[in-house]
Amino acid sequence: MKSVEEFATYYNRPVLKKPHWVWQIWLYFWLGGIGAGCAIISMLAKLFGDQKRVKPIVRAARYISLATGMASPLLLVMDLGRPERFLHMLRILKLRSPLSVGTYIMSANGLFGNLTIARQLVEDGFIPAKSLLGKAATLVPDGLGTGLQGITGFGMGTYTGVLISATAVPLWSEATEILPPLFLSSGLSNAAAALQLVLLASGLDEDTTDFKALETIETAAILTELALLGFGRWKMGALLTKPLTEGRVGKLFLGGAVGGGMVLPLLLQRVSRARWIRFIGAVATLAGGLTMRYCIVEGGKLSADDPQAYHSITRK
Amino acid sequence: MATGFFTDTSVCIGCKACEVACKQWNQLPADGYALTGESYDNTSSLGATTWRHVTFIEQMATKPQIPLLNLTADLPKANLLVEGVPVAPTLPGQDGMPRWLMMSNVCKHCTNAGCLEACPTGAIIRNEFGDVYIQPDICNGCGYCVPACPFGVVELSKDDGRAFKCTLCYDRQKDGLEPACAKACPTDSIIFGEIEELKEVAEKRVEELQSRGYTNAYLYGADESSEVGQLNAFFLLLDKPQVYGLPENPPLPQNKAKNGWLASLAASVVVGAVVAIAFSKGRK
Repeated sequence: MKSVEEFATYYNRPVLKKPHWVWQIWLYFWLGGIGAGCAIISMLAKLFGDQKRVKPIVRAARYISLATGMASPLLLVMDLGRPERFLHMLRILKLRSPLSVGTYIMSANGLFGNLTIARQLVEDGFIPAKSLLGKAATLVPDGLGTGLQGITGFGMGTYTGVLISATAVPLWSEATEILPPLFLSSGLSNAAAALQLVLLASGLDEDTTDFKALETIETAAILTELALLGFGRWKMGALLTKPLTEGRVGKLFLGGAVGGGMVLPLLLQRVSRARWIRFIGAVATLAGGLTMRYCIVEGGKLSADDPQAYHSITRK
Repeated sequence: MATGFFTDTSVCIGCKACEVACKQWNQLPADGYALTGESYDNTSSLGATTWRHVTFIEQMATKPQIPLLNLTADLPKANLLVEGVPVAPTLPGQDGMPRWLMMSNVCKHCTNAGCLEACPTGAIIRNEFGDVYIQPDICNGCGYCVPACPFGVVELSKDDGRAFKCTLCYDRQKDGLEPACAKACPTDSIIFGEIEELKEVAEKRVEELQSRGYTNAYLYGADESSEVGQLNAFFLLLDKPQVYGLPENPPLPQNKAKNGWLASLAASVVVGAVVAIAFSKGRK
């Protein structure tokens, strides 16, 4: 725990400027995380799973990735001050800028996602297999496309954490070892929940698909998130984590993201395996994941506005 | 050789000529008529349309020794002369006199600039004068430079969508002119020039002030001691940086990225293993 020291400030005015990010960004953080989780799950399910029973999981994961992959760039372009210049992101690659690296990770992940979804569309009969498009769609081997999408999925799930931690904002910059694993775990738990939701709604059961694996992934990911948050609170102390424990955002974070989105799904899993309980649990995990991204973005703004927090991390 | 500013706050009189000259030359819009009640500072902070900002810090004596409205009372003995040499108070209240600090704040044009490193489009560059410049025809308004600045200088313009900050009068420098703020400053609190030359001037000034009793006088940003390195706009301050709204030890945010990527790698391995185990258990 860091000691609390009162710093002189300039009329308590913020020293930093907070980012302008609003709903597009936290929605993207959430959707991008789910897309990343789906990419990772489908790769490893194909590699290690029972081929027959993971087939519906891989199929659902590809469609969810398609949806998140289409929404993500749109949200990010919308967020730009000059949306028509979005391609300027690709005129240069800067390894020191997590946003620049992230742009390429997202582009690559989207590109490889196109390979797997194209194959899926052929398999599902949306594209005739014998047409030119159908032949083109199955040109790249299945394993290669799925593998590349999965590997870039890890980058997709973590880079947003690196991106916000490479700023001067105290809540984010002091959590540089916590945010990337937290975002990856959250993306994974949310992807597992989204997949369960889709598969439950499709009327599948334990014999036809591997629900057990998805539940294990969700539980392990949520426990990791809780551990990371606890560690973060211990490492950073009360002053720096204030935006996530006090006020409107703090209440939403503790009640919504941690209580409703992590503790509740874990409890429900223990209480009953009834279909509707599992359904509610999955919805709670997803809502909690979105709430967490919202609170971390909004909490960062509050943190940037707090001169005490900033002075406490920039003293000599 | 880089050009920059030496801002000597000990001679700033808070006239705001720099703010006005900057707005005029760079054709920046007005920011309204809000009164803050914070001394004479109604500008409040640097921003997209404010590239020079004069801060006003009123430091009152702990015990006012001059009764208000009693102008005939004897003035307290302020020990301002020692052997004929004027000695200025170093702390407010030390001699019963309040102190009024003023500083013209500006973009620091850091040697290691957080905004420049963050910029994903390459819009932010270091120009031929060694200064940090946002190319307006490249910037797409992603806003990532804004929280990446350890001094809170860069801001997105709400009307325009792009990021703006002090250009160190790139256009004037190209024509061999000094920046508008330095030109307008009536007390030479803002001096423009080559950094190495400015540092010599600044160090002499600190020595002079120290010898005259201003033991708190020091240079801020004139060395490589922090992660952002030498500031091309450095300052002579008379109190702690925090008092002026400056960080004592400004960080370079991108230095955090390495640990972030390492944590990402470690997390990916662990998460990958967990998912792999979860699925391999389902094999029959």
